[in-house]
Amino acid sequence: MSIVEDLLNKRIIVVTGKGGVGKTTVSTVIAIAAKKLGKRVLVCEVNTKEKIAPSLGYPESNGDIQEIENNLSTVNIIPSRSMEEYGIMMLKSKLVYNAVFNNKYAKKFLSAIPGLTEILTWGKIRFHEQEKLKDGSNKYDIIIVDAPATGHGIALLKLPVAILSTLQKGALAKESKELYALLTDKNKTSINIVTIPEELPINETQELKEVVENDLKMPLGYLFINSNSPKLFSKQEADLYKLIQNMRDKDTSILRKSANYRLSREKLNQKYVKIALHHIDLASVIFPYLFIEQFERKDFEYLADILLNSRG
Amino acid sequence: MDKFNKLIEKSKIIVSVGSGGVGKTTVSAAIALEAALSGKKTIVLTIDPAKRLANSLGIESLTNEAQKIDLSKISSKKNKNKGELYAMMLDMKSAMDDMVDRETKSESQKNNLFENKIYQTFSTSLSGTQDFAAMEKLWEISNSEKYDLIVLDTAPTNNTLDFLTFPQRIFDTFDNNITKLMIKMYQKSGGFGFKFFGMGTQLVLKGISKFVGTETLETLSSFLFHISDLIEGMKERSVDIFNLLRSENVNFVIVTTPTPVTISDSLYFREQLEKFNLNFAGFVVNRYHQKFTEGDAELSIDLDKVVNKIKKKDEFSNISEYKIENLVKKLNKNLKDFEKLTKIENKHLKLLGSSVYVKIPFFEHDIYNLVGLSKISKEIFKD
Repeated sequence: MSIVEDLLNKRIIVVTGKGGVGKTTVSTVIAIAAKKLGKRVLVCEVNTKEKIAPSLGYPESNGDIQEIENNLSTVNIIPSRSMEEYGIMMLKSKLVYNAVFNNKYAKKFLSAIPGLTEILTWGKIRFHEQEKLKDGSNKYDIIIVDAPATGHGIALLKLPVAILSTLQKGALAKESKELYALLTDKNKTSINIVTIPEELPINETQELKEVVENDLKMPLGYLFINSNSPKLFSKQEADLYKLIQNMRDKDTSILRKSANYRLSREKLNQKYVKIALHHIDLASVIFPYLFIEQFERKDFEYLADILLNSRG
Repeated sequence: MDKFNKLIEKSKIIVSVGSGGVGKTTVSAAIALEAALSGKKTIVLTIDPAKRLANSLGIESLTNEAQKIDLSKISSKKNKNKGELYAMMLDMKSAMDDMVDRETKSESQKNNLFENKIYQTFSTSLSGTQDFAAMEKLWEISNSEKYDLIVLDTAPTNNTLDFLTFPQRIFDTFDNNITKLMIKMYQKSGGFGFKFFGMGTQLVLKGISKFVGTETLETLSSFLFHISDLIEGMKERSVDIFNLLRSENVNFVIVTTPTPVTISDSLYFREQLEKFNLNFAGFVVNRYHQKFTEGDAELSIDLDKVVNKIKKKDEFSNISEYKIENLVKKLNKNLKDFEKLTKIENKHLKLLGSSVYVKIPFFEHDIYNLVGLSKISKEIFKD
């Protein structure tokens, strides 16, 4: 089995990384790639302004799972909603739930319990992981979690560990224990990191990788290097280009100025790609920077094919 | 348009806010550098442990002590005003501990809190505590009157300016009946118990405890009890901090990039600042792709002419016309790609409306020293 097939055989694929590196794009790309392999996919955004369904041309899911295409569903997990679902499950009665949780003080109070919203987010993900179809097969083969960017996208992952170090007994502790077991199961879960080939993001990626590996002990998947300047010239073209360096007329100068800018960026990106590949020992895939205003379906497909053809 | 050139002159505190990954820390440092070079004794407070920022300031790493930056690396002509620059990293954990240390009335109460597992685990990761700690430190340094100007680099945020809503959130938590009940429970039983309460209250409490576990409630009630004494102090302090932030010589700068997502975040930040009556000085748009041509005129390059010129060069005598044409086509495609990018970015920038903004070009090199940093200052403060 190739590395990418191995990735797409997991049940939970977490996509993490610092803000602004393209986590949501990568989550969408993985979803499309998995769908191409015939998987039933659920891709989750967490309490955010929803982007995935709209970028594929569909309305927002708004907290309810919507199957936007055959085998492809999206959802925006909203903790207050999950609180209700989870509460009803725990208290086994909607009536009791309403009596307790629609009390406005109780609501405010619960919102102040540290970590509760995160655990509810995971509760919902775990619920869908266990959901079955009538024939007994999994409702979703693969659940992709586009982790929020706070604290390098790691707050959500740290949560079960933090709760378990605070509490030993009770419902929250039990929930955290089961969640931690799922997140550390290398057959089921894969934590993937997205970065861009620039200095700060690469440094932070190294730290992030070490935290996931050593502190959280969760199984790492791919390193996605996003927005890499695509190569402008072939070797032959680069040689030719050198020969026009001393031409001073206006038109050639402008062409050269923009080419030189591009080449410098390319060089800078290459330097950090090299550092990333050398220092961050993970299967990796490099996505080119695309000169487009917005990602459309065809752009996601293009990157999905790069992922499916990658060798790690 | 009133650009940023008066900003330094008229400020005692400059706060930079923005979403993650926009270069906020670098911009903060560049503003502080400019201020120092204009003769002010300036400190930049950052929460970012980025090594390169430290290195670009010429120091090994930032610590939670103010470190003086050696400005002699920048030509003495530029620093003729004899300003001073200091940099300091905010260590959230110690800022939080300092506050507890200051506000608690007894040794035992302090130790109780420090030993409480909820405090230990969440004192630095509770949403908003970082910002509160940053504001605390700002208050402290501002009151010390050691500096002419403080530049504060806040924690990156994607949705709200947490530090603006944190005081309210904490009061909401503590001013509510259930919290008061929890504290009472702790006081009455020296531990924990429901039996002192009426039926209705018991139902709610039992529901919650079933939901989160009794142990959670116990730990939490102990935490709430021990921290509740601090709340009065924190309340007073946050009123003071808000008054400070609203004063005339405190200005907020929003750092953004010319992409739809960060711009829409930034517009929301501006709304928040206005809602809280804070002085918004303008946007700094980082990573902007400049045009390669002068002026606004649409560029048109006669590609045939360029090909012909190249053909005539001696070095190209052995090279087929086809190859030259391809090279020129590629160069032109690249130029067009960047032009398209600039056009898209300009379109997004229109969303900023009539607000003041300055653009910093997307440099093709890393900023690795003070000279590089001063290039950014120059862009922010050029006329």
